[in-house]
Amino acid sequence: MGEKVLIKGVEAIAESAIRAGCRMFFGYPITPQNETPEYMSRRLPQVEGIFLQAESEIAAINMVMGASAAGARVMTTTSSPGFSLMMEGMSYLVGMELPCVVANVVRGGPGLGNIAPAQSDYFQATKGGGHGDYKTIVFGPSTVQELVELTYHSFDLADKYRNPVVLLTDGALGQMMEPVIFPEMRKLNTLPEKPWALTGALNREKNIIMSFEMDPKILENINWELQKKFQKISEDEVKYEEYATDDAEFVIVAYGTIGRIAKSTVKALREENIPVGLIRPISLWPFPYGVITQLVPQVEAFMVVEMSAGQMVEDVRLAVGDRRPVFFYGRPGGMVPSPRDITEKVKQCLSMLLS
Amino acid sequence: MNYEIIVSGFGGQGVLIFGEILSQGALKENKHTVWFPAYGPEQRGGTANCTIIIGDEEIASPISIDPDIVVALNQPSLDKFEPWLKKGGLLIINKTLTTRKPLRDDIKIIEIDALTLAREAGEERATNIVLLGRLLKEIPLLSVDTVKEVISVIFAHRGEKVIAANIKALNTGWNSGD
Repeated sequence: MGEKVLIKGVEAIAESAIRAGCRMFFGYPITPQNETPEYMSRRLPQVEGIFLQAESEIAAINMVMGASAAGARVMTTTSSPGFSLMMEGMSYLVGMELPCVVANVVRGGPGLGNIAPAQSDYFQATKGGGHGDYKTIVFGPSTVQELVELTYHSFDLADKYRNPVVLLTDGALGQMMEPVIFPEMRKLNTLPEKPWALTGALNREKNIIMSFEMDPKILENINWELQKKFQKISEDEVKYEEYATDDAEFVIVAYGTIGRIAKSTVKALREENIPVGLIRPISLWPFPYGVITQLVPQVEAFMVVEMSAGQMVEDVRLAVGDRRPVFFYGRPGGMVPSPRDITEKVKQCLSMLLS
Repeated sequence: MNYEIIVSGFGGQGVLIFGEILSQGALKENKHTVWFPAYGPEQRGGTANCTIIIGDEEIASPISIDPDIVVALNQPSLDKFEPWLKKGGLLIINKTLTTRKPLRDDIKIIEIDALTLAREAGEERATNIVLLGRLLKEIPLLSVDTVKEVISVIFAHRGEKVIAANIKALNTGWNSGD
């Protein structure tokens, strides 16, 4: 473990990726994530890596595909409009079972939108996004330290499941600086072997990587195999933080930047002896349905807070069903609710419950 | 406790580096800290501000809506952030670039002619550091020695002369009290 350094979120992604063994980066500039490629362009050559600025996001994700097929630990980073352009490639990556890490530093949308922090790409990231029946693992970190740890972890998970992993963050976490401790630099010879990779078929059977199968009977089986993998990920890779839920009668569910802002709300309400708790999903897919369902008997109501018009709220409603009210408070378009805004909304909901 | 500080001024006045010095100092003293810039299509001459939180408690929200301290380097910053200050909070104003007195009577107000003092110290671009010196005198968020160390590191690439000028400006700010 090294010493603590003060670093921006979007630079921390880059350093953590390199420490995880990422030696290839392909990307196209877009605010608010430009410091990631900037950092990579400086740092990757120092570790004998390759940085390449592509001519578009479409090109970038296809370069990621090529590097991944050749067995490299590879990543790209982008922001919402660029992430949309990458969706075809993401679907292909899943279909070909190729590992990679993609960070989407989400900005206000739809369309060109703005560069302010938002969470409005939740559906796109967690429900597939591109065509076909597929999932990618999605993490929503809420501190720069957590961003570092999840970036590092994402490369291992991507290789383990041969599937893309998405880091879903925003410009607030991306642009802020916090003290972090980076994990150790992985030695490349300790990374998992990739016998499936396209490394030259000298003295072995050739490997074929593709997502094309004309025979529906065979493609159905391929799909069921993928679904088995997604089922296994759903069982093993759920991550969340529970805060002050032990005796909570009202639970806020929020992730990422809002997850930490809502923690201030919970602290403030607890000082007024109002029994509020927080569930902060860290893996957005697989979503932590179980912990929310378990809280239903003790909780009178839930409230979901998002920087969107309401997306994760649907997953919370799936977990809760009709058994309890699920309130929603959201600010789309790049607006960030303050702890006081959230506190006022909780109090409004509590008074609605009483009346 | 945690202190929440907003530093605001024109782009180019060094408000972001003001904040970064505080956060780097907090890191050196093993305190919790976050530095959070208002980001957007910023440009020189436009407005810039950042929020810094320093203290001994875990930092949940990085956003401050009722800061303990506001440092205003120009009039638009005074107009925007004076109302935000917590009751009993500290407002430090760069009098050189403001055109009116603050309005509130429930906060502590320090007005200093920071640009003039920075010029007298030999480096008018160190106006921000003059204000930082005064802030540290009013509220000992960090030890002055820590801040001097951070200044030496942050300005290392600009050479000894710039470091010396900034440390002189810090002392000038510190000594600017009545």
